[in-house]
Amino acid sequence: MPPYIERIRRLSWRGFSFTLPLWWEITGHHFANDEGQFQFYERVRPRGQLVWRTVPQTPDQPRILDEVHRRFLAKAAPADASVFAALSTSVVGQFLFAWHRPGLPAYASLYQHSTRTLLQWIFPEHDEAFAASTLLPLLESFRPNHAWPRRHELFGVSLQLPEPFAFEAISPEPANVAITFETAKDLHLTARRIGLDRAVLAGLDLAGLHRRLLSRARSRVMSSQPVEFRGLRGVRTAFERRGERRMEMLTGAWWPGDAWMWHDPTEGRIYAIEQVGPPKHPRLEPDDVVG
Amino acid sequence: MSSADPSPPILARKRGAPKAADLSYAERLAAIPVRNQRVEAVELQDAATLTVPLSYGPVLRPLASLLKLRRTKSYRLDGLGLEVWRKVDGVATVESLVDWLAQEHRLSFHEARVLMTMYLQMLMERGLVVVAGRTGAGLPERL
Repeated sequence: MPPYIERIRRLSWRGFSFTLPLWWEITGHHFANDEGQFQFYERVRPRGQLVWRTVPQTPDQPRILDEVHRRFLAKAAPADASVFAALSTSVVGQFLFAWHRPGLPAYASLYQHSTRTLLQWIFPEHDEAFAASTLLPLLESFRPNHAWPRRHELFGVSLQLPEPFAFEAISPEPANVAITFETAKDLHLTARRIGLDRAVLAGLDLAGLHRRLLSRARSRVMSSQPVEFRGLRGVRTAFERRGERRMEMLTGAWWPGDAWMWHDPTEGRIYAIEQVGPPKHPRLEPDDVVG
Repeated sequence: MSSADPSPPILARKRGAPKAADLSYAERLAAIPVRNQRVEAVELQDAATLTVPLSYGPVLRPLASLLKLRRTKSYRLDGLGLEVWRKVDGVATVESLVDWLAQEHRLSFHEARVLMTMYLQMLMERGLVVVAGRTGAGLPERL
């Protein structure tokens, strides 16, 4: 399997971690404070939806799944809704897997007590063979992900961050993903994964690309030097960005930044890690952060 | 739901036809980009200059020659843009272009799909290509 495909199979986010089936891709996402969801496609076929939300008390999962399915039937097949009693269920890994009959949606549900998070998969069409070959391994691949350092693996970006870092923003442009995390003390860490490496580097070297990217992010580039990251050719760039705290915004102070960028020719990707924040806050070593 | 996919409306549509956003991925991918036959292309080895005639609306049209408004506009394509232009032959579907882009540049299917549809949309906005949809098993029909 090509490494650039293998990497996007890793999904680790708010308290959960999965290995996605081959060729599944995230085609939509939604993040809010206490809830979120991902939508998955395999080429043009919708394959599933993963939804999570904070639930203060242990939910009655079979009842919730039955109710979700009943509502589905009321819309899609009203005649079946009146005779529907309950979904068939089995335990797969840590999940409760539930289905009605082939061709109709199947569901999987897990309540994580430690984080009070209800995690639910909705698969659009149940098929026994497909469930056995694809869905069950997916559910069995689940690992809790609430310990620190916590894994953040999304769109091929793979990080392992210590406790103070929280998700801030994501920019999932095609073949150009940037995810930013921040601490309560305003240290920002941005991880990038850029595709089309040959086209991007056709008229530009790595240092020039890094300079351009940082300049676009309202940064002032100070210096850059060639480095090696895990045996790959890279560049380390020192830069500055305007402070974002109130006093610093008033005085126009600049925060020092440290950024690494490296090129993985096997994968055809360019990766970057940028850290910027108040001067006294220690930066992380990229080797400790990159998964 | 926010998304990596801006779902660009790549299909030119006639009145009553579904909006591109209403079409499924499969329907959009079955569409066929076709070069605008009025485009004059001068191709060199690493670049191409495409000249497209401009058409003005009913208000400006009578005044166009009086005001000496330009009648053509030229675009220069190189690199990846030129590769895509060369692949647009009136036969290749959007899906086959997506597969080619994914394989050639080591992208996932949906990364390539979004890039390709965005690029085709840009070519359409400049009048360089139109995208024809395929209905059922019949011949391509312009939407």
